[in-house]
This record gives sequence, structure tokens and C-alpha cells, in this order.
Amino acid sequence: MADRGTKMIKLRISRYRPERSGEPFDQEFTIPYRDDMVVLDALNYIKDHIDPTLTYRWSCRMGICGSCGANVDGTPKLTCALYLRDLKKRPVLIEPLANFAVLKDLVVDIEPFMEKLEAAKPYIIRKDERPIERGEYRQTPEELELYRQQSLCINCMLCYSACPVYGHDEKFLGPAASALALRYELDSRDQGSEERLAAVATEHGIWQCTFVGECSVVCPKHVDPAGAIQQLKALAATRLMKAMLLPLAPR
Amino acid sequence: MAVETVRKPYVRQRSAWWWTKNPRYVLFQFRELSSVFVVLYAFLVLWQLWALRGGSDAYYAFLVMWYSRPMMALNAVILAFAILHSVTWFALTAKVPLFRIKGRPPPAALVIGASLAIWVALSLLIVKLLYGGF
Repeated sequence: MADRGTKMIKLRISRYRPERSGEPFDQEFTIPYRDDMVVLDALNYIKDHIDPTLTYRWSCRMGICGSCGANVDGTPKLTCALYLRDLKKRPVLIEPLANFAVLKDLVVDIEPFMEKLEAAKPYIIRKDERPIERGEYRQTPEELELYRQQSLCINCMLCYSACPVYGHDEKFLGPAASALALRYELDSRDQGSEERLAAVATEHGIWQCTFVGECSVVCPKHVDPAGAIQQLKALAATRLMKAMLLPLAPR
Repeated sequence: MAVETVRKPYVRQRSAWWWTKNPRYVLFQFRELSSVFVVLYAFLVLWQLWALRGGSDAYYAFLVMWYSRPMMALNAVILAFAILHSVTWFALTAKVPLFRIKGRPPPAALVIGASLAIWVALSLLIVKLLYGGF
């Protein structure tokens, strides 16, 4: 156990144990901590030394796998990238990502998110598929730069947890899937723009976004999903106007 | 032997006060609320036109009401909401790059600044047209 003089920190963690209790409950843990500890270190300490049943997702510990997201003091964060020393409130409140069903403790059901990613058609669609002998579809650094920002998404779902529109209606396509759609819309190798836009420019697609903007604030990779949705709206609207005004023009 | 599953996804209920938890959510709710006041102002203008149609006495009565303290206060609130709505809307303009400078989208500060400047200039022009020189 901790030596005298060791700094201690109190955490309040939301627990849900479907096999035991019907409702989630809070449990407090007081653990020794150092200034270089992140929230995930604290969770690992509890699991290793106090309660091995504490359940949460994590993998890379370096902000790229996107699996350790949780609501810390009410804000969606990657627990591997959030230092305890930067948190002012005591106890530190750790809850599962908001707007998702809880499976156990901090683990949420990501199935709805997976379905949304798929709905955005996140792959290159070609009308003229080239034979493999002709090599890869090439791209200049400038063409890559057009969609690089949106391609940095790590699917951590913090944006869905921050989005009140998704919290209100789970049918909403949501931030990350929309940003991913734009990523392929802006890809010079893609030829499926019309098909993809038709899939996302719907009532429960980009048009449901009311631009709260919190998705872009919490995004750990600066993908700016809120901006991506507005770009998609502009793209869909201009395409519609062109189709109405110039019905015979190539699109 | 089949494994018995105890999977029981728990759906949490969102509190009606969710928007008070974060200042940016509060700002968003106020921006949404601003539309109510903008509609209210449209009705006030219709009321004014209706009074104008009723002749000079009716219009004079309207003006007395229009310049009363409660009405001035209401107009101040409407103006505040209209400005909030406009400023947050112009802040959005930078999110959609309509053109590129040397292959890059223009800097956000430039787009927002230029939009706001044009908005203020046009507003001043309208004020000048309505009320004459400054």
C-alpha cells in the first residue's frame, strides 16, 4: 500500500453489473497518484490492486486506437490522454460515454456507431475500375491534403457522446460518420460522390445537424466533424441547385 | 452446452437540464431560442403595417405603444437575440471554404472578419437610408 507522504486521489466511477444489479451505481476509490498519471493509469491501478472486476476498454495508451473514451467530469475524453493533475474536481467523476447503452461499467455498446460508419459508404467507389496491371490510382500531395484532416478520425466516438442531437435521436447519422463521408467525397480517386451524398444528405443524415459544434471541440484528432457536416450541406445544396437550374449539365 | 448470456444493455435517460452542464450547450440553446424572438419581431412589423393601414390616428396610437418602456425593453431583448444569431451564424461561414488561396482554404479569421465587416457596413447603410446622415 501507499507510503506516508504519497499523494492520494479520489475517483468516483460509474459501475454497471448486468448480472448483479439492475441500475448503474457509483463507487468511490482512493488511490495513490503521481503527477505523470493519466486517467487510464488510475483505472489500471484500480483493476490491478483493488477491484479486478472493473471493466473498461483500452489498448494503445497513445491516443490512436480510440478505444479508451469515457466521460470524465462530464466531458468525453480519451482516458489515456488526460492527466489527473489537469482535473480540478474531487472526486474525479468517470462515466461511460454518454448517448450509448452501457454494457458493463465503462463499456458501451458500439454497434449503432458501426452501422452509421457503414451507412456513410466509407470506401472508394469507381465507375471505371482499372485493371490491376495498370497500377494504383495515383494522387498528388495537394490532392491528399484536401481530405487529410477528415482522414485522421480514430473512431473513438467522443463526438457522438458530445452531440446533443444524437442524444436526442439515435437515428441521426452523427459527426464521425459524416466526416468520413466528406473524406471520401474529397478524395480525387473517388467517383461515387452522387451515391454517397444521396446516402448522407437525408433527414436523419447531415440535415439533422443543428450545428451545436461540440463534436469538434471534443475531437482529440482535430477532425472538425461539425465543419465537415457544413461542407457536406453546402455540397449537397449546390448539387441540388445545379440539377434544378442546369438539368442537362454533367454532374 | 449453450452459454447463457447476461447481456443487458442499459439505456440512460437524459436529464431535461442536460444543456445547463456546458456553457457551449447553453449558447446553442439560446441560439435556437433566438428564432422565437426573430419570429416575434416579424409579427410586430406586421402589426405596424396593420396600424399604418388604419390611418394616422391608429398609427399614432401604435407609435405611443411602440415607444413605451416595456416595448423598448422587448425590442432590446429581440435585438440582443438577433445579434447573437447573426454573430454565431457568421462564425459558421469559415467552416465552408468556398474558394482556395494557393490551394488552401482561406484563414477562418479572414472569412469571419470579412463577413462581419460586410454585415456591419450593410446595416449602417440601411440605418443611413432610413434615418439620414449620422
